[in-house]
Amino acid sequence: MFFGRRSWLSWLLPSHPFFCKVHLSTLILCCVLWSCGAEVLAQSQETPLQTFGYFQVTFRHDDSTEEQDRANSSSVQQLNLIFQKTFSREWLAFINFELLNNFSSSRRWGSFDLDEAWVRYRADQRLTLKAGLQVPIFNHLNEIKNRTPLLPYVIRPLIYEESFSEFVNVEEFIPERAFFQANGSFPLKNARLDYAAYLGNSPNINSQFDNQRTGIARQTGVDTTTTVLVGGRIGLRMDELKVGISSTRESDNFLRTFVEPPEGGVSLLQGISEENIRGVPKTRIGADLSFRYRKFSLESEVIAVLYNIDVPTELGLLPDGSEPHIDIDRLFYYGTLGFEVDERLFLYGSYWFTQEASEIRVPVQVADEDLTIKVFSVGARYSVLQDDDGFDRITMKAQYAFVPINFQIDGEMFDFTSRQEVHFFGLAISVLF
Amino acid sequence: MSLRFKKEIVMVVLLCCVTTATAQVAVVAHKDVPIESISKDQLLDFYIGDIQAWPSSELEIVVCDLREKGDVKDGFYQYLGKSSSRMRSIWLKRKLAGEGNPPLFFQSEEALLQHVIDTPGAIGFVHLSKVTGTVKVLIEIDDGEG
Repeated sequence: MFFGRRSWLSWLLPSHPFFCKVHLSTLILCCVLWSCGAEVLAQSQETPLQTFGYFQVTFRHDDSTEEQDRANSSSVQQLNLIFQKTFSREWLAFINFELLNNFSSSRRWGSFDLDEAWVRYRADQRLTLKAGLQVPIFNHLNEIKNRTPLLPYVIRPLIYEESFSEFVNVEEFIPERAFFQANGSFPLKNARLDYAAYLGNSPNINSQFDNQRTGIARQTGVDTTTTVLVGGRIGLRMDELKVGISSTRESDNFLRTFVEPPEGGVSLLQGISEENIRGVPKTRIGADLSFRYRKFSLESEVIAVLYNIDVPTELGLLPDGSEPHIDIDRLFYYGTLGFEVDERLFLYGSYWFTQEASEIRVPVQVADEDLTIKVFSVGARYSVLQDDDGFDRITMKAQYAFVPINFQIDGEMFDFTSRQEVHFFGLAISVLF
Repeated sequence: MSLRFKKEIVMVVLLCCVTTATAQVAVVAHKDVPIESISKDQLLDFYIGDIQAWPSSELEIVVCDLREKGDVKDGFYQYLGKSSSRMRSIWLKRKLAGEGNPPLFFQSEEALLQHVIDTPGAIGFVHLSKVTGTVKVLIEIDDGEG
């Protein structure tokens, strides 16, 4: 049977004879409680608490043109523990804890997050409501990006790779959490029209940055401003074709990165008052396309992040008399072409592109910056162990990626160009329990 | 073309027909379900979990499947236009997203049929010859249909 369906009684009946003699009364009591519980469950359609989870262990070798960046590393890349309680056909509660990168509080490694905690009401296929911390529907991959057993990758398309969040600002590209969501689907001739709409906090309005700068002990993670994240997706499904467009709108503390001075330097927006750097409106626009044809599959997405930045005029005008401004464009897209050799083996080739282009026109600096990361990747996923019902329990993954990284500053005061190439080799074992 | 070569072609064609043949499959449901027949799209919606209650009813759909591969299971999923491995990936995604549970799996058609007979809201599929009068047959799938 699939996980979570094991009877309560089977957990309460160890087979050891010593146990049977000594704890007979306890067993009887448990049986009575169990039978009472079963009666209540039968009346209310409740099912026992289901616990399940998954983890992915990886070995990786990075071979970089930068000597200091070469590395061999093994890690528990991700571990998720899920608790699910079905109260009735309509009501369900879901909690997901996520541990990243060999989490150890004593060594200060990795992170331990409450990734999801929500309750769902499902009226029918046309309307499902969710309240609580949740990963919102955005494009194709966002909702399942942390479900490693579903994905063939060792390293996911860059902006979805949570274990890289120290290097890649994941939250800039995708909405990571929402608190209220309505979604559903309607039949439309031979297709289905999917929709989702959600609300959440602007994720980084209150951050550690505020505490450090102002000394005011705001409670991190709690948004005390009036700004919210709003977003949604509209899509169409027809047989194995799925297309959709997504968008979010929120406020961002984006300008803080220009206020904090670099080591030994001056910040671009030094002297600007705090209220002028908060709440830059940010819009994400995304589109996704995926389909399957026989043993071939294609998944693709594009995400553009647009900022509406008004640089405060308190900084003064530029030397040429024009008003200061900062324009940022972030772009990400990926495409993965897959081939299902058989029920156990899946091969794929993938291309990911990430770009951040900045045009900075402030009194202390006039410069254009461009950071581009391309990833050419091939990989395989092989199901080592399937349970009686055919679900993959243990999966091996292998991936090679060639990653050229270009960084360029074209400024009035100085120019800078950097090109780095990384060869990434990764092996992973993904376990579903 | 030589006679021997023609015979070989006929043999190959016959062999292909034998290997792609599917059994006659009956989609059966508990006798109290509120519908008398089912369309292919509706059946697919039931099996991928898009629809979880019987039409015009609060009765929950209890989806049943066969554990082992065979002509009956292959014929059923061929009719739906999905491979059984594709269905498993859809169910796993729904499970891990908290959207619902996979079907109940049964070792034999007899066990599946008995569960459908005993369980209000249950739906499954068996070979047409196994059907008894105590269930509703919602659709019969002919050989190679789909």
